[in-house]
Amino acid sequence: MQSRIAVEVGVAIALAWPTAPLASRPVHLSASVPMHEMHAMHSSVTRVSYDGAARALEVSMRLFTDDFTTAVSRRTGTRYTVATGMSDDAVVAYARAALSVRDGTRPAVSFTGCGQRRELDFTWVCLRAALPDEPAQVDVSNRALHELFDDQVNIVQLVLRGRTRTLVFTRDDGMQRGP
Amino acid sequence: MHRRLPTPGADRPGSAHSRMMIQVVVVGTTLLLLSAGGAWAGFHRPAPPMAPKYLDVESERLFAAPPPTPAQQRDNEIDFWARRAIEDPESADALSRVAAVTLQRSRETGDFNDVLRAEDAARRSLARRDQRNGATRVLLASTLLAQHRFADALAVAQRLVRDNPGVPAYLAMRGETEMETGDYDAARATFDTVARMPASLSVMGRRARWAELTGHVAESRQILSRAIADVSAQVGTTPEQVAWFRLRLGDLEFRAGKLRRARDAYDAGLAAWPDDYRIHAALARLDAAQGRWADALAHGDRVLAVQLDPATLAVMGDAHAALGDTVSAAKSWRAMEVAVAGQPGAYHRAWSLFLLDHDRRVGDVVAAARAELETRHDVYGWDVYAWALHRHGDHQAARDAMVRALALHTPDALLYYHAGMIERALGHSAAAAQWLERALALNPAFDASHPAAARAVLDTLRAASAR
Repeated sequence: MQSRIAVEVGVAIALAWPTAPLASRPVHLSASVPMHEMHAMHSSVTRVSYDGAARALEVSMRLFTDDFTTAVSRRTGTRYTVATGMSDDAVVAYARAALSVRDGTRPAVSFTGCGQRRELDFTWVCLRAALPDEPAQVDVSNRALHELFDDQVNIVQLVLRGRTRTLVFTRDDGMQRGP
Repeated sequence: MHRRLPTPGADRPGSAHSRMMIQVVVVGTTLLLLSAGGAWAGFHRPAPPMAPKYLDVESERLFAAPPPTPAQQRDNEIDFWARRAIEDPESADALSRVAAVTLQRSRETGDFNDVLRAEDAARRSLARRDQRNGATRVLLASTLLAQHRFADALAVAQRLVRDNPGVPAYLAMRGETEMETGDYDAARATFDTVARMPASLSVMGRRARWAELTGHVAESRQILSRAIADVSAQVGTTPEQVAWFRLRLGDLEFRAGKLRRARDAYDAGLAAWPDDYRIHAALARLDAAQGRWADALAHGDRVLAVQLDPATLAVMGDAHAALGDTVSAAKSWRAMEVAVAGQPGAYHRAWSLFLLDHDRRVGDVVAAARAELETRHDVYGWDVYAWALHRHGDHQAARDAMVRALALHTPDALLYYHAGMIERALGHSAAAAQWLERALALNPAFDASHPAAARAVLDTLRAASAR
């Protein structure tokens, strides 16, 4: 209890402390540097890694909140909005259905939810599955938001046994192996 | 030293006082809790230099709570000015600052939605104050350039200079839009004027690009080197901006065939801003050009962890193919094509060239390139059109377009390569050999696959002429 209070007071101090130095920057400096071309893409990024201490496979999935909200609403039949947010259960159920991970010949890894977090335009979804050993390879598929967009590209980064492999999934893709 | 909140200035003199009050309350609360005793586990941080002297050691530790990260500071700043814009419906400055910091965030994160938000904030600022708000108009033009709305950006830049004649930064912005839209006579006049004025960061990046485009590589290098020194020394710039100038220098050196210098520049950029996905993308291209395929994939991984970048997917596809992983290569190329197909308007030039080089959507690229030339007829637009026509089999029309692509004498091995291959397709052996030799002389590693193709064609041409 005491340490919790301490943390909260520490947070209060951090929030109260003057911390906005960039505001003194002249406005035009942001435009001093020519802009590069930017593009709106339908994409998601998922990272799959192994936590040796917890003996668990961990997944963090980053999706655009507005698209994700549409997809979850459609799947659950509940009308969520970006403003209201979505229930953890609904978010996790969608993510579990979209992402499939197989460790060798065993059945698909069964994930449980470990929360969601909003950050700017994105929602991060956390999934976790107990796994006694770090797999050398897994088979993965990611169908997130493919029901909404033909041009949705899902990026999955596998980080296992010190190796990283990036897999990309378009609408017609099935399982892929890595790293 | 602790940095201060944005000073509200004359707007709201009471706010700084209120902030001080909050701190006093927090200090009081802290002391109260400390006096209640207890183990303050987890607060083992060094005392900050500005902690009040009358506090005991534990309190000093509390004051040293980790400061917000730069990203949090940036987000706090956006929130602060957004609130100020609501509190003071007359304040154009608050909205301008929202636009400025949001635009900066878009540069750092690659978030396209932030460009749209910045545009909206800039337009609302200008609605509040149309006159003497030039800095906001620069921001607006920048958001439009990022969205490839070049004609709109040009109109904004022209208005900017009309309202504020003689301001170098504004002239440079107009020069950039003229350059991007291919109005080179106007751009030349603008940059000639700017060159006689005092240089600033706003001017240097744009002047450097004009110098390179018109064949003055040494001058461009000199300007960028000075810009790097200035941006590193100037108060208020961000690591991302420092990295951007390093990236530009790296790109210049890469195109000039100075690969070691290019890598050094990119590495220096990453030293300033390690997560810069644009530099990782550039390094992936450089590694691919040098046949360092595994390194290209590693940099590609860093890019895709942040953003879906079709050009990087293309490079990674090439890398997988070179390493013999044809399945992954096909997946990467397919994903690139899918991502690009969903884009409205003109294709990015690098995407177009990839599609053409991999015989994908050639007809679409011809049509898109032709359509873009109606509003934006710069040399690289002509180059894409020429290459598309060539890949489509219309070599004479391709040659006509290529002449326009070379009009500025831009030293770029890829342009020379395209010119050489088009001449070869027309049976103009001497001209083809000349262009291809020139490409390889300028930069023997200008691309992952084209230099080898150029050498093969040159060998064939030489063998034919020897017979």
